[in-house]
Amino acid sequence: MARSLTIPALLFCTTVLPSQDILAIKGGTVRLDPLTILEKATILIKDGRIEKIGKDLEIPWNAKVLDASGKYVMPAWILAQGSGGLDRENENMPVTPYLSVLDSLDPVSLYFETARRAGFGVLHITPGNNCAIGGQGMVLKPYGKTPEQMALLERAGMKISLQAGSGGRTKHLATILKAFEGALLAKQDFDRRKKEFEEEKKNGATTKTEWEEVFDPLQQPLLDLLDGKITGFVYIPSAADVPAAIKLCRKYRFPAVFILGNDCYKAADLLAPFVRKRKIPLILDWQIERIETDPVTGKKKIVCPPKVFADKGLEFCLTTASVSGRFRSSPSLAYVLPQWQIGAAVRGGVPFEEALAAFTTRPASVLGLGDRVGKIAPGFDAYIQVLSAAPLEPESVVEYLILEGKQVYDRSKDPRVKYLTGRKTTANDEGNH
Amino acid sequence: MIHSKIPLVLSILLAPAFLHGQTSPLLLRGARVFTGEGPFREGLSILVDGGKIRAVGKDLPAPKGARILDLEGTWITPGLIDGNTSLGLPSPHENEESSEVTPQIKVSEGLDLGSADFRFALHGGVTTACVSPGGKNVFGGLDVLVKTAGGPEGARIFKDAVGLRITLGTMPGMGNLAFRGGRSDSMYFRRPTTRMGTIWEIRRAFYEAQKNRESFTGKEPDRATRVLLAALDHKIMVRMTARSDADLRTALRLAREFKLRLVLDEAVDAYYLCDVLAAAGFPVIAAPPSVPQAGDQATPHLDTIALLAKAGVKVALQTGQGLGAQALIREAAFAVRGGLPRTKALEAVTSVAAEVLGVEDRVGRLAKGLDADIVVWSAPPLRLGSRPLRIYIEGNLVHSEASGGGSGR
Amino acid sequence: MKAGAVAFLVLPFLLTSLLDAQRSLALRVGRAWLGPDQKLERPVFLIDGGKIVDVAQRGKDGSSSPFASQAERVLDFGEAVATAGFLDLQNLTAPPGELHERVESLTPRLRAEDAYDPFLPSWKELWRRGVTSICLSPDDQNLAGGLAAFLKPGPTEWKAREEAFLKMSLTRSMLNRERRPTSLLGAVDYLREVFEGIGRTEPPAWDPLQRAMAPCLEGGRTVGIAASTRAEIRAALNLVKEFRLRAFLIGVEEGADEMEALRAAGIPVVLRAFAPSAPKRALELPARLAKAGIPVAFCGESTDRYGLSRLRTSMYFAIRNGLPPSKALAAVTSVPAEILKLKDRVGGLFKGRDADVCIWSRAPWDPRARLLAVLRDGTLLWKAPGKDATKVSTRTGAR
Repeated sequence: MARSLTIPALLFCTTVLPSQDILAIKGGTVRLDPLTILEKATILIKDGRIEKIGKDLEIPWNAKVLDASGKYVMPAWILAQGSGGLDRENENMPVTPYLSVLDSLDPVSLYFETARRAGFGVLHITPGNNCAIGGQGMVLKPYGKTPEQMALLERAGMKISLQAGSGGRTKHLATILKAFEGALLAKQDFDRRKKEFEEEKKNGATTKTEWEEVFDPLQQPLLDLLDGKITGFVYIPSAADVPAAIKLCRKYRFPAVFILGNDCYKAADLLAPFVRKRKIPLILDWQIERIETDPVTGKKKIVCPPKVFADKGLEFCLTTASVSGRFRSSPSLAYVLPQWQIGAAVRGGVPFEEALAAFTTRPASVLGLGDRVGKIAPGFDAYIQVLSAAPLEPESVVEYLILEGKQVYDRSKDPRVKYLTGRKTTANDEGNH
Repeated sequence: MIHSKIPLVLSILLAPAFLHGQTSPLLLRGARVFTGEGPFREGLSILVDGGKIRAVGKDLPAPKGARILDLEGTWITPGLIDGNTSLGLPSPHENEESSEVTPQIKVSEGLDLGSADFRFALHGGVTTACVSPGGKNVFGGLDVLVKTAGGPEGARIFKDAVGLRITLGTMPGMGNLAFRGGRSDSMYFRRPTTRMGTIWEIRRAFYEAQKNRESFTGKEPDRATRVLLAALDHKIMVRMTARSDADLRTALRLAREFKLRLVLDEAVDAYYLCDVLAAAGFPVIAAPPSVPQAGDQATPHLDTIALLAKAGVKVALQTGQGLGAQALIREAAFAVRGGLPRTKALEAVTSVAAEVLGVEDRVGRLAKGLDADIVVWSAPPLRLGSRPLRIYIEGNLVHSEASGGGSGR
Repeated sequence: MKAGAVAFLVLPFLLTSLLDAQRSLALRVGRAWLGPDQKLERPVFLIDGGKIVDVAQRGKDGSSSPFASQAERVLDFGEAVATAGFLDLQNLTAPPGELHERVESLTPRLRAEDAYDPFLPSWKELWRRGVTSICLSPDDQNLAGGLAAFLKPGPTEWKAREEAFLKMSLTRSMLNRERRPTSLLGAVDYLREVFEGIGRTEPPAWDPLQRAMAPCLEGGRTVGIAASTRAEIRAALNLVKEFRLRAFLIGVEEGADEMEALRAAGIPVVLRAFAPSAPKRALELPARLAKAGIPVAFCGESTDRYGLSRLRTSMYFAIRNGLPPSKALAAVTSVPAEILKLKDRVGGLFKGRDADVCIWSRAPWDPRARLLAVLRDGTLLWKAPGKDATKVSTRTGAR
């Protein structure tokens, strides 16, 4: 799957940097990847790429220097999947494989601003969960004036959702199957006619020299999915939908990623062997501390789904809630911040390194960008955040965010942080009060 | 840190029977201790006996028959105190809505002490919670202070009628606007429907109580009047929920007018009024800082609590009622994110909270004679990955987690 | 044998005569539960004037036949089993909306009796389930809904009516945003206000509400309080204790978590019919309560569309989950009678009690048991159709 995603990645990658730009991040505690820490190290970034990392690096005279002494430098967070920053998450019909979030993205949405403040470098934005086949997602950085500028991958996979609508599960599955079979049939028919044309041409029964028809572009994305050219991101709302997801993947064998709703951990035993065998990555819901009520005894307990999967030896990505999305607005800012989500997972018993990977290296490889982002290493794209303290310290905030070597966020100049801090003496200080 | 936890695990293995109702004295030592003020200190031991803290100090000798618990590599704080919750209250019926003025209603009478909410609060390190009536009435009723676990359920209510809840702003009036199809003789056509109407209700109730005090000479006034008079006589605190700047100023005006022992609740816009509040000496039970929305057009700021503390206002914290807040300790951590020093944040959920609620002689600190409400944490409590390993309420072990798990860095 | 054949031929005639007759009767069955703990093999009941005049035992070989000479008729049900007629302590059979008043929540002066319709077809349905007497009760939608009426329902006989208890409710269905109270807190406050008001003034100064509530204080009038959640149960128990009410609780769905408080209070608990989806701990509740020494009764018989007897399903499920059968029988007979202070009349088959008898093919908690016949006040109310249902023989004329 990595291969299938990187090819378009190279095609669509855009760099907004001027050439020969050198940035040095100096003197911070650098977490290169979930397992490695380098104290008082310097990172040299050239043309948006990380060139060197070391303790006593010579900083070129023309480099811009960012002093990170006493600060904590680490890869920017990566969101494995989310549906923020869109005009609307879904079209109001069930099968829309030909849609792309590229056309719905709002670059000035508060969502991207919040993402920068939270330290996100890469976001995978997909259509929402209301359509059976919602359309194609996009991998982007939360910075840029147009969707094209933001894009890392303009086509990042097909969103499939098993969240049944009014017709119930049976109808919902039938809708997906019908769409898949329809695309395959259409392709068969197309091939047959093309073959007939070739024969006619050979026999001289036609005056045309070229086969002019193109395959239905509305169906083509589905075909690409079924041919394994793009990945299917399958949303599984609850444990009860896990068997259907497994069946679907067994039957059509497309490369899949499972996005698990918050009670899917109950089906962990069912998921584990299949997911392991097919190497299907898992993306977990943002609710890391979930209150579960026993239907028989009525007793309540707190469950940490990531811990359940970690205990099974399964790898997963963690996600955050969206604070400014049109839907699923978070009640607490804490659910929007990866640092706090990692804290919740650690409290639940997930090892820190594991939780860290779930927001960096793992989503990078799920998105086929494992050799470009998610780590601080030579040759990697410079997606770096500078925190004021280690990520689990309560004081820790994102001070700088560097995307492709360019500093796109500085907390000291963040207008919203300015607005929300500091004492106002009279009500007249603010226009809207 | 993993290594340092081994003695803890061992001690748990070796002494498996830490059950309720333990009688022999208990000596906790080896941990870093936050006593309720100042930073964490090394080398302090805590001696617990008969549900109370008997001594806190360096190198305390273990009395005869005492059990010794080596807690090296852990952090100890007093049990946390949540300044305002709706734990155990039936939602959405946390208010008696047939009248705006129900000062006599005691939250303790409709409390489900067995509610799992208490257990969840406990697992976040909260040992004392103030349960308050909802904010739909002008006078909501009387708060109660409850221990979140330990002891028979009735005994967990350790101070009833601590404060009288008054709500300012638009919320008490909201239910009075008749919705479509509402009956014209129903309560939906009542005053107040505006903020000024709300204040009028407060004035009227207090003035009538004063008037009744005189006319009831020799006879006992009714319960509502008794409660209002207790508030006017400073026998109970008056907790006023005020969110916007304007409501906060109104609260201060009312406090001056009726000479109230005022405690401000939520006080979202209090960053406007730090020195006014400091000068007046009114404490604040601040709204949970991680909640991005607030009523009454108040604007939650990141550093409100930090500014208040800096100005010398006594600030306690709350998780609030139906606000979607995090656990109390995480809200304290969020206040740290907004600039509050760590020590102040811990004080806000322990000793200062106890003072604000008027129970500093029972809880909030680790000091001789106070209730042995103690939390042993896996990491510095404000660190995001930390969690309680053991919790004692009045000397009883009410929560224990032997396994290590992630330690958090 | 000959007599049996004759009886079979003349049965229709005889039955019609039995239905309106108030003649003395000797009732024979194979076994009877006189009380829940008292079993009698081969009993004969002498019934006259609607009462059980005497009870005796036949010999094993069938030779001795007590009361044959005193009784004008003899009904012989062979090996069938007799129990006292069931008493449903909270029956809500009335046209929709009849059993609560909407404008006020405290309506203690209302009488459920006034909503009683003796000609409802439902009553016959109740007989077929073994229920011979009920308390028609205000439902859960009022804080104090009114007085429940003890009565033996149906068109044939409906004079036995009296004040049974004051129905109160602290459940959520009592809350109504358009009147006081809108919350449990407010409900407790309201009751306290009324009760305290009674204590603070003298009877001449009482308003009608106070006058109606005053008899409940100090254990006067029995009060039935519906309470489901833990908070409601606690609130109810606190009120009972504070104002020394003679009370029983109705519902108590979350009682499993309040065993300590219930045990300490020691007042009877009346459980509603189990929902088909009832969780295990609800099913185990009767057994746990009984074990704790708390009197348990079942209520909530209704004519549902499945035609199941809810009292019997309650008994069956409770026994499956650990309740001794005798306690299950007590829960529909003697315990409710005790709560109503009507133990000298109903809830058992002892001498001197009303002749309300159910005759079953097996013990009534056995799921295979069929009800064969129901007598109330000595009158045959209902008899199962089919030739194997009963064996009736009569001997007319006293010698």
